[in-house]
Amino acid sequence: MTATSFSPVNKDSAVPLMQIDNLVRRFGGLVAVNQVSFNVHSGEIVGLIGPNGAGKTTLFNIISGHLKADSGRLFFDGQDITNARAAKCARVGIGRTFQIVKPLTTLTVHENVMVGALLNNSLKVAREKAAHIVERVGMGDLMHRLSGSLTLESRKRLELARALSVEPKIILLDEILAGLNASEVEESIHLIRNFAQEDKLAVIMIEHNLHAVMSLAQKIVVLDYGVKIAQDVPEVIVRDPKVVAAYLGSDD
Amino acid sequence: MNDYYLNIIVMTFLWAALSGAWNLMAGYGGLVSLGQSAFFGIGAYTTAVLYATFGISPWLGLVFGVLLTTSTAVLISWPCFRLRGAFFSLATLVFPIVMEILANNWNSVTRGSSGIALPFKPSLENFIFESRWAYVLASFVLMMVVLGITQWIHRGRLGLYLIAMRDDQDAAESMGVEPVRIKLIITMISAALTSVGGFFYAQYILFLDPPSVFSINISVQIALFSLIGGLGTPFGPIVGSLIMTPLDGALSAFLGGGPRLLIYGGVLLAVVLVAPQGVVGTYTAWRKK
Repeated sequence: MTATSFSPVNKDSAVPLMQIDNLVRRFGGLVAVNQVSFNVHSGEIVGLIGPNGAGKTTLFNIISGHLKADSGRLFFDGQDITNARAAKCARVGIGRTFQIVKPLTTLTVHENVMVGALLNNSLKVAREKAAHIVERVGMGDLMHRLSGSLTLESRKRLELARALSVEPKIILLDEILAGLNASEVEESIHLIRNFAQEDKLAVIMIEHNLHAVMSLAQKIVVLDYGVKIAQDVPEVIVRDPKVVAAYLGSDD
Repeated sequence: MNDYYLNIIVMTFLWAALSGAWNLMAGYGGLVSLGQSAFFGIGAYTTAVLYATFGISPWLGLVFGVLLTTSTAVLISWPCFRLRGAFFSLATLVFPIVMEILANNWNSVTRGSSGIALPFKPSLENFIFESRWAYVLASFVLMMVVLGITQWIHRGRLGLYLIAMRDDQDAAESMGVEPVRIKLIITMISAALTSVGGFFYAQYILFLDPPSVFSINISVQIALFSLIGGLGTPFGPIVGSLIMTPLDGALSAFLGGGPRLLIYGGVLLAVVLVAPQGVVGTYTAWRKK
């Protein structure tokens, strides 16, 4: 046996791409994320839902390295990346979007995406790859526009393009459908499904648009007050009394 | 052309270079340092002390000065990188003040407030020249070196990373940009170039005392020229210095004292109101329309 017990994961094996293991994060007296655990496999789309303030974005911030966990562990692609810096998380293959969009306003759409593309590529290659990603998310005609001048819909799409720019194995989508109209939502659903299927990309999506989550996700994780209260396929989740209670309130 | 005008040309180039070095940190990286005169002064004092006291060639002094300045810059700015925006600026403001106090009181080395006079022995080896034209040439080269480095950074990976970090640090980090590494690199480059400016100043003026190199006014003036010319543009600092240094020279020659500062302040106010992105920035935006 070799010294590397954490050898790269075989794609066919059942070893998950990401293992979230008992993560806890407190803000003062509030436990924003309380012992949350679940796994994500390559190519799998996981929906992360729950009422406002349930700790969904906090969990994302821990996974993407923007926040430190107080306890628990995070494994990704055979590595322990618990409390790694954000840049390190990007390097191992975690791309993310921000719920409150963060365009790099003085750069063009193409340059925004190029920042991430430079992570694994030379300047010349990054330029081409960034252009390709921008085309693929349907922003080709906005390629050289300053991102500060974009509409909200385009800014959301730019978030998606940037998450893809680091050549990720998983992307974390934080409410990228919020504020979009029906046809824009349909288009985005189509895009996300495409990326998951064609690129074997795993996706965790926080989404309040239940129609979208139910149609996309193979697995749904429900958070309430920082605690995971349910995890199952969409059809079961919608009938789960605990989930309904969390969203609508219960009698007792 | 007489020495008076040549002096203004030399100072224009020198200020353009110093402001250009600051522009790298502040204009591109969003690190609005108000501590540049600390780097400037350390560069100037290192060469001056080594040359005047120990008779060591200023060329060696230049090398030592750059090394000392760069390592000091790393030591003092690293803790400040945790601070964002105005808090970073305020923290950096402290360093020139500390350096000035140190230079004033470390008599055995700096000769305190009486200052250091460098012996005038013109030769290329001493980097001291009889003709001011030599200084014009040298300061011009320095300015062009700063411009060249800025252009190179502007077009490359480092420039994109710096701007990304300036626009939104969280977003930049999510795409793999290591903020501390990028900030350290640009601070070291900026400090090194500013230190070379200090070396040049010492060899040109041939006299140093603590306020003449460590004064906060120098840090502020360095920043102002880039703001006037255009922050985050390669030519901004040069344009800023081309406008302001001769203006300052002319005003002090013809008016002096109060009226000079009044007009100087008026020009500043006008630029901020009419062209908030600076001359180059406003011109570029106007051309794009």
